[in-house]
This record gives sequence, structure tokens and C-alpha cells, in this order.
Amino acid sequence: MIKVDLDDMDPTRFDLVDMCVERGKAATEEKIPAIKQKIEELNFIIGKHL
Amino acid sequence: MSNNCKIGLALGAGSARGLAHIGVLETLKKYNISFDMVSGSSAGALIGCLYCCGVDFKYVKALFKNLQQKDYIDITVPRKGLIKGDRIQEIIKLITQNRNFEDLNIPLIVTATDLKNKKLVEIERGKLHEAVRASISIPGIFVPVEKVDMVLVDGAVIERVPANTLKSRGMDLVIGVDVGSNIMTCNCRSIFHVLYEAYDLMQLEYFNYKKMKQI
Repeated sequence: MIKVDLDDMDPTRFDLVDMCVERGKAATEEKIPAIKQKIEELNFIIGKHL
Repeated sequence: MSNNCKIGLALGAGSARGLAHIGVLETLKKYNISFDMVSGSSAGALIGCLYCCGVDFKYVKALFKNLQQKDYIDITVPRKGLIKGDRIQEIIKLITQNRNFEDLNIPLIVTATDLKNKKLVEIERGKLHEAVRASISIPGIFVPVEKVDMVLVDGAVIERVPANTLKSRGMDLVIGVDVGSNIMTCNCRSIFHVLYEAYDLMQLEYFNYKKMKQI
């Protein structure tokens, strides 16, 4: 799960799009190594059974 | 990144906080991580829909920066909701070019909650703008979408991040994205804030309850 920290943000402010996008990017960058590792593991397991 | 495994992306609810999904998608694209299926609830349904339509996010960001509340909020006599929702539906229809789910390159499932039958509804056919309009219908704020046998409101009433929807479709890996609030601040400046804060609190409690049940 990628959890984006936006607790301080007003949920009615659609104009704060840049701030939201940056937070989304930062949260995802943190999770990229774990996601890539999981994909590689699954590819290996599924590849063995193909 | 070439894959043997099927990867799903579940985009969660969060109103304006859902715009963070754009940053998530841009970063995942940067690392060549693509998806076999996408699901979305509420704001996640909106951004997921735009992603699956191939809409350029530069355009979406510019649109949100320049939109004024009067452009997408049509206040109504509050019988079933404060906002009629026709304007926002028209904007979604325009951006998605009146497309159907069947026209998408990446399969998309939009979730909504059916108040009549008390269950989660997974929409994967028909007009995109109608499905997204149902999925963003925060109870009390938006007028629900009424069908013959259904009264549809926000999908996040039952599932904030619709990951189970993708697990049940055979995805090997589901990447969930949660943009909801985890702390409760009291920021009740208007009726919208009061309703939203109460709804957010209910979602959080239900989300935590479901997590507790899984242990």
C-alpha cells in the first residue's frame, strides 16, 4: 500500500493540485524498491511455472 | 519492466486529496510499471478513469488549478444532497470524450455503494462519466445517482481503497494507494467541511475495523 500523507490538507481545495502531486510522487518513490522486488519475485515464481 | 505477473492498481478515495494519485501514476510510469487492471473509488475513480483514457495529466493539473468552485459545484435545494452534480458530470464527460468502459485500453472498475441493496457495486460497463459521478457522490454533499433498482453513492462508504475488487479478478499483485486522512483535525468552517470530516472519520474507523478483522 502506498500511503500518501495529506493529513494537513483541506479536502475541498482542488486548486492545491501541485502540492498533492508532489506528495504523491514522494510517497511512491519510497515504495518503488519494494514494489520492484515484489514484481521480480512474482515474475520468477510465475516464470518457473510457465 | 516486462511482467509475467498481472498487476492491478487500486486508487482510493479522498476528495481533493485524490489529486495525489496523479503524482503516484507519474512516478510509477517513470519506473515503467504498468497495469493490467485499475480500480478506483471516488476521487480514485476520477483519476483512474482519466489515466485509463490516456488523458495528459498536464492538462488535468492545469484544469484543476484554473477551475473555480462555481464551475463544478451546482448547489441545489437540499433534499438528497447539497450539490446536484450535473456540472461535474459534464466536465468529466468532456474530458473523457463521452467514452465507455469498453473503449479503454486498460480495463477499469469503478466502485460505488448501493444504498438500496446495501452493497458495493463494481461498474465496468457503460458511460465513464456516469460511473464516476456515482462513485464521487459523498453522502449528504452530492445528490445520489438513482437507477431502477439502485441508489448509488460514494464507493468509499464500503471500501476506501478498492483492492479486493482487483484481487477477486485474479491480479497477482495489487498496489493500493491510500490518500485518505489518518488523523482527525477539526476544520469545520462550512457545511461541506462538517459533512466531509464526519464522513472521513467514519471511513477511517471502518478501514481500521476491517484491518483488525484481517489479523
